[in-house]
Amino acid sequence: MIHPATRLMAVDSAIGRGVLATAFLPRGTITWVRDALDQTFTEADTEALPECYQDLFDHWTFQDGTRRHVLCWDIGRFMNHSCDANCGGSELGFEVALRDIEPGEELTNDYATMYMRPREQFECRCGAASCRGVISEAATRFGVTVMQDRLRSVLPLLHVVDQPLRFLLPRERLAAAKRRLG
Amino acid sequence: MIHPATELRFISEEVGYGVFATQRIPRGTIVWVLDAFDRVLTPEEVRQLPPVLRSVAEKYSYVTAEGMFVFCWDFGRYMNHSCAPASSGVGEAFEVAIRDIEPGDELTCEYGTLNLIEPLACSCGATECRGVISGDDVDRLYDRWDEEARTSFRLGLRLPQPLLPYVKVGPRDQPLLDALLTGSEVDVPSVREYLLGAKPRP
Repeated sequence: MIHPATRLMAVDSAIGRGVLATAFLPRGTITWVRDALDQTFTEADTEALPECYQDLFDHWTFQDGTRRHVLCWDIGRFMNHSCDANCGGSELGFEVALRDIEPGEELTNDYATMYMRPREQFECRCGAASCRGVISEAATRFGVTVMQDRLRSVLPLLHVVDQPLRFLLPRERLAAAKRRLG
Repeated sequence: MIHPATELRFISEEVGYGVFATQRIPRGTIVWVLDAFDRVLTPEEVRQLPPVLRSVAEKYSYVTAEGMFVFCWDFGRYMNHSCAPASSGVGEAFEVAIRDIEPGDELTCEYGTLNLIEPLACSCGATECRGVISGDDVDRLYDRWDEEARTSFRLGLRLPQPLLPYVKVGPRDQPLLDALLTGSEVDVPSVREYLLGAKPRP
């Protein structure tokens, strides 16, 4: 479930819709928690579906690092990519604001940290100074490492800022994330 | 899955969201299909959800004749009821447009066939508005609903149907899908039979 202070809105004609903050979300805010209404498709589930569904997987799901596709039930699935993403952590089962997010600012993920399939490679026009141009499966390993460094640095803030989604995040999942990030 | 020529719009605080056509959708078009991404939950699974998610699932799911909660993954779950709806259910996996839907029209369906857990007050504004929608309405109204659905479904056999590749049909609905794929005639079952099929009614 995405943070309640967000809304699905038109970004621009090239990007289409995205998820925008409706309030100030300080660095360290939990912006999304994987929950029981989100769906998980194993690799076998994914391959069993016809080709038209493969496009839906590319468009609407992310992978959690175990070859499973996750389909968010709410507007979380509309989060766009940025090479300078302000949110991260999807594979931990929750996402955190990596820097302060201002009201009206778009919430973004770095798709290169989300275990893309080769067919999902795309040309990025995010406009960030650090834009990598082509986002592909090949960037995943590096992207994940960089993201883990950034996540490690915001974890101490989790207990400092307001967390409307805290109730959805099981204690064990948070503990596992801390162990994993070291 | 909802028809691609639609969008979600916020209507009002009272009504919430609704689904609106962005292009003309002719009568006979399949406007929604049950697909492989729609979530089917048992009543027990719904009960065990955290309260916030449980109220979402109960508000936005419809209930099948077997008592399962179907929580649509896309904007289909925001389709509102009307006592003079734009579409009608055919079998378990299809909604067919029963009139021409113009750009900007709201797509609406008949909640009377969706096994409402409790009767629902209606203020849809249609001249034929029943005021209250209940699970028993089908006993009085199935003749009219079946007639609308059958005539429209027949028209749909000769129309482009963009949703067919996505539909997830059970054995009961397979003949309907075959007919749509080949353009051949088929017996469209009565909505009442579908509802009776699974649970005894007085």
